Amino acid sequence: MNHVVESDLALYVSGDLGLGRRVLVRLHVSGCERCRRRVEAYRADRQGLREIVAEMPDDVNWERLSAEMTANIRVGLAAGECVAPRRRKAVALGWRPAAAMAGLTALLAFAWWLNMPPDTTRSLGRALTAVWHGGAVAPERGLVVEADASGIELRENGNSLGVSQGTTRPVAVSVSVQGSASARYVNSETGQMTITSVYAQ
Amino acid sequence: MASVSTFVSEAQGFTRYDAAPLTSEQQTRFVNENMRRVFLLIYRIVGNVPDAQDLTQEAFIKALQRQDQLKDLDKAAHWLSRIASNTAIDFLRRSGRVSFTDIDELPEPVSSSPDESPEQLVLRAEHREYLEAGLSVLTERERTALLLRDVEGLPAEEVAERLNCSKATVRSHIANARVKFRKYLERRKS
Amino acid sequence: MRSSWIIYALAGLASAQTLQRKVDLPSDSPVTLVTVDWGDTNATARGGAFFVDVHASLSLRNSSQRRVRAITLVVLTQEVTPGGKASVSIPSLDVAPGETFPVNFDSRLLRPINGASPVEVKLDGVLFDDLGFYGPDKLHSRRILTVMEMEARRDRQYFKKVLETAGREALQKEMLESLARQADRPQQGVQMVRGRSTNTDPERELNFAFLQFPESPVEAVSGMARVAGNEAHAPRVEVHNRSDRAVRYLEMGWIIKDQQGREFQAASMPADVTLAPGRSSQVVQDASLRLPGASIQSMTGFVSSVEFADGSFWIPSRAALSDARLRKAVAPSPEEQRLTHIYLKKGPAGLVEELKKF
Repeated sequence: MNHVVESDLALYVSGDLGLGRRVLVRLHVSGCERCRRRVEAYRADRQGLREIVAEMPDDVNWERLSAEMTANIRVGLAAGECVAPRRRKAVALGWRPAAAMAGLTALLAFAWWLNMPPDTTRSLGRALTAVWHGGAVAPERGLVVEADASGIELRENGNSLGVSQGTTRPVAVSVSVQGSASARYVNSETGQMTITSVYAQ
Repeated sequence: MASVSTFVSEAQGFTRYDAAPLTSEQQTRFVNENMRRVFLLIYRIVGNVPDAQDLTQEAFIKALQRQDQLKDLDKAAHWLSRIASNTAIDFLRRSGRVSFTDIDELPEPVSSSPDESPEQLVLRAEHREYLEAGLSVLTERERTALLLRDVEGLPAEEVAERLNCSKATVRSHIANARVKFRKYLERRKS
Repeated sequence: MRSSWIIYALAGLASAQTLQRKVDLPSDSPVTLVTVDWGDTNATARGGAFFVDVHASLSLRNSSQRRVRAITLVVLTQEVTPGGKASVSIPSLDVAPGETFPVNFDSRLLRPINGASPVEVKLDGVLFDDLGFYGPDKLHSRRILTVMEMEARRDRQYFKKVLETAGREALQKEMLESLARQADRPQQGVQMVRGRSTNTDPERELNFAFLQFPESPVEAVSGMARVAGNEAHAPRVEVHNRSDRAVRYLEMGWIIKDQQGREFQAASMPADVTLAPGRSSQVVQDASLRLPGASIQSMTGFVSSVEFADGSFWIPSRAALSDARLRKAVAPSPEEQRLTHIYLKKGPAGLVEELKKF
């Protein structure tokens, strides 16, 4: 009696044979003890495989390993924020003409801005800031140092006088009541720390 | 600034309408609930713990960075395992350990031993050891195809897509893997 | 095309002023300039002023006979007006005589459109391994770098001890816990305003609670600030010198708890004092602290460093800083962050190698 080829039996157990072949194999297996036992063996192997793969290898301390991975994932996410672009929007082709127009408008606006007297630009800046924030922001007066997750900045009457931003986000920022702000950066290659500060006076 | 996610319960589960970022707690839960499964899959593909650790971390970081792609939390497990297996496969490619390309012809079918029949093994630990060792006799292509098909439960078409080869090639990998595996167990037993 | 005319005009405006740049180190400086690359350093016009985007990569040589542990450089576009000054400090160095080391700097500074002054990089201070110091110290580098070096030695010693007594796994555990704490620290922006606050909400007096360190030479006795919403104004603290040495400076950490119960160090409060042994004094700061998006529920202070009249310093021990609230709210020292980063990049073996160097 001709038996089913071994590779066909192996594929039969997961329904991966073509329809015609599958029917033929089923017909044969129903009448052949030997091939039926082969099919059962393959099925048992599949089940056994699922069981062992679900088990942790003996030499793995899962508690420690998962804690380590969780910590590394957290840090990796935090680090990834500083090199990923802030905006990741898909741009449809039809957007390009609109982008060109927006770019031209921005250039024109900038040229107009440059030609305005300084006081006007500052007050306009504050007004724009207020509009951006829904009109709810009180105008900022005086010298302000600010530290947040993206870096440190010195402002006067709401206008930036200086910022300190490396190419990456700082790993820590701080502010001193004497009027300075500092940001710590880590060099990703050497681990060297650099601390940059801006001063209100 | 973080925005508040809106979750609406539907018959099948939750759908995220605004795809707002997961909160820190949600991220932690996502990692905790899936880490073991993802690690074990990757470990079985690459075959060693240190690489599996690095790749598991990489897979989760990728997944959480791309969470805006995930519209349906129901499918999160499947989506994540896709990222995980792709990460492992890319690693194998990069490290030059395997080439996941189409092969021009199917290999000769592996010959069988018709006189031997399968036998129930008594000691579970011994059985497990045989199964582990059986996996190690497979090539990486065969092992990866087998894991994706039998453990992840992916249809052959999807396995082919992940391995970047034809469905016919995947079928031959799976067939070879199962036959080799079976032969190995029978040899060990006898 | 009109658009190209405007682009041309803007390009012309931006390069109208030739930007002078120089690195100015004194002739007897213990560090000398090897190379400087000004990269994309350029001036851009905005309103009535020029901004200078400074991107400088310096290579400096230790031309002294001692090992250099830390350095502060100051970058100036204008001496007097705010916005014209920034600094860069590098702690945790170990540069042998004759060796070179890099210093990188990225900042935007302000200078008047009519000013002809160049962008200058000057030396504010160099700290050596014997804690000796060289430099004009206009930015109080001696104090800042010495405290950082003392913290670095304290923390390195601690991790080395963990490795010696409890092994690599214990050291790894410390690293992972430190990384987890760093990742979990609340990310809250903080603004500091000199002078009067603009907040018109009704103010209340809020007292400081204090985390005391028994071995601290200075004790914070009581303190308060006027708080309205997300602003705290004019903090004042009474301090008592309980040591037998005169104190000339102290710094306090200012921890704030917001309405969500998150605690974080919002600011530091440095104060020059004249505090004889056994005497008390009031430290008052004419400043307002603002927390965008948060409101101030409670405040806690702690003494983070003390400088004695003879120029020596005290910092809290590692044990003192192991208080659970401090660990959560306060950033680890720059050295601890550096070591955890080395652990991440190079693994436990790399970390052990690094610890062996000191």
